[in-house]
Amino acid sequence: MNSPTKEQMKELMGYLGQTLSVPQVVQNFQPSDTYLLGERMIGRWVNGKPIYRYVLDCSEHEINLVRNTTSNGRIDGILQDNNNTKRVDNFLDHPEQFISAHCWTRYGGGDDTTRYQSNCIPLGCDLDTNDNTLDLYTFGYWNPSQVDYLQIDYTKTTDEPTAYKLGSPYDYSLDETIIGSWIDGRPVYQKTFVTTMINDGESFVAFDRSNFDKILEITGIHNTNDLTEMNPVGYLSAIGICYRENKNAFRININYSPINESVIFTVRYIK
Amino acid sequence: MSLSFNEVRQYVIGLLQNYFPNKKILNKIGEEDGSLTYDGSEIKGGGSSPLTEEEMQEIKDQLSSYSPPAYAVADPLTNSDMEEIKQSMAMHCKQPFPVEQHRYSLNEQKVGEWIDDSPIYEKTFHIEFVAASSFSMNGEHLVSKNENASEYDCWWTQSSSNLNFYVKVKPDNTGDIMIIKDVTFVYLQNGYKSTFSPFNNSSNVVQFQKGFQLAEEPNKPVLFISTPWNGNLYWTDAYITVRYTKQEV
Repeated sequence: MNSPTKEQMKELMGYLGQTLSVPQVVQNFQPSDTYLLGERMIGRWVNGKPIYRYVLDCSEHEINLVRNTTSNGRIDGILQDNNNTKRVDNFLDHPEQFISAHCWTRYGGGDDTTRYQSNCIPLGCDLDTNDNTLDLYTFGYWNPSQVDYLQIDYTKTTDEPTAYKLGSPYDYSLDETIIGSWIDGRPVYQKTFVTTMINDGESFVAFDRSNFDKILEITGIHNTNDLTEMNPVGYLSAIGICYRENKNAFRININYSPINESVIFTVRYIK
Repeated sequence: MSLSFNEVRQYVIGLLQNYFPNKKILNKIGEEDGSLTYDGSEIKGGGSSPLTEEEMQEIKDQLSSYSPPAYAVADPLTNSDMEEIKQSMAMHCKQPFPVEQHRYSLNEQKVGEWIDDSPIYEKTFHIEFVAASSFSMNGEHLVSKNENASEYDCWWTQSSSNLNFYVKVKPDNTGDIMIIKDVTFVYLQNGYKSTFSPFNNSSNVVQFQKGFQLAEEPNKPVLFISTPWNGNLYWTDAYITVRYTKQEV
């Protein structure tokens, strides 16, 4: 059976977030997060390129994360298959920018070793362009051999920026966008900030206190300008962002130093 | 000729999975002026270039040979679902913002499906602490004044350099916990006026780590928060949103 071309698929996916026609119907049908093995488009990055989510089932022993190196508190797992193939293009299609990476591990306890006790761990991505391998890492405890599922969100070098939005929380934008509602019914806003040439230590990004009542979440990535390394903001990371009221700004603090860094972070808040 | 919601859903899922090839239908479905209309009970052709009877029939024919995802079979739309969809559509037509996928709620709600097609649930817990003038060793500031405190337990410990704060949230019948989606703390820190820091590692200010550890009670997630001891902390509110699947009983 002939399949739609990539352009056709983009065309359909692009309309999923529009306010008319079937896409809106579908949007009401579809839960906000449906996890499927394999790859699908989930949103749009700040540069307009589509974001793809690839979910790998490691428990089927088709994919392995093998402990690679440990240095400065960083624990790496290198992505490979059962044939010891490590090339990233064996898994991902022309990756350009890593948006996020997570894994689910199981460390039950006692007799309860077969169920997830909640471990969704954010990972950093380090693409080695010499041998085209992908290291995934954290700065905290994890055991790569215990990973069952791996999820990587990324853009592709082969895509061009698109004007389409999918109408999902993964449509990142420098503009303030409503993405949902808070427990009291107030709209939840999302806005992405892009900073470049960030130095180690403390930096500030202005955002007036009058813009929000509560900040609900700050997510982000810290990466090298060549995009080969992505370090997630937050838990088990060496970069943190909070809001400092007396500075009227977000405070970025970096303790880990890829060269030529940039920080892209997304804030969700209510007014 | 008309299509049910479930047929449209299955058809689009089929399109997204590269199962159906008809670009003409694909293009029509994507038209902004609405190639299909909803009259409150059925989806029909409409707009400036409506799907023809033949195209609708083609969709039906293709669906007849299509194997939908397991969840679509195991969990078809019920009459109750249909009512909810109708209400949701009506709300979407009137609301000022087009997309509301991210609905935080104190009530448990189904928000998605896991890889094995099992439902993912989400619930937000609000913990409002009794204000304290300064952080004290007796933990009195961790006393909650929530009426629904039975939904969680809070406690804390202190080491030489860290304050470890625990919240055990207790969604009903929670089985395998997969994701902490969003965790929000609003707090005041002495010397910095107020600082809003939703659980980000930001050393030299307040360093949070969030994660889970096994609870004493099986299958109940414990949110673990650790922060270096760094002066006085004035805790006010916590909003903890967890996503989870349920263990079959």
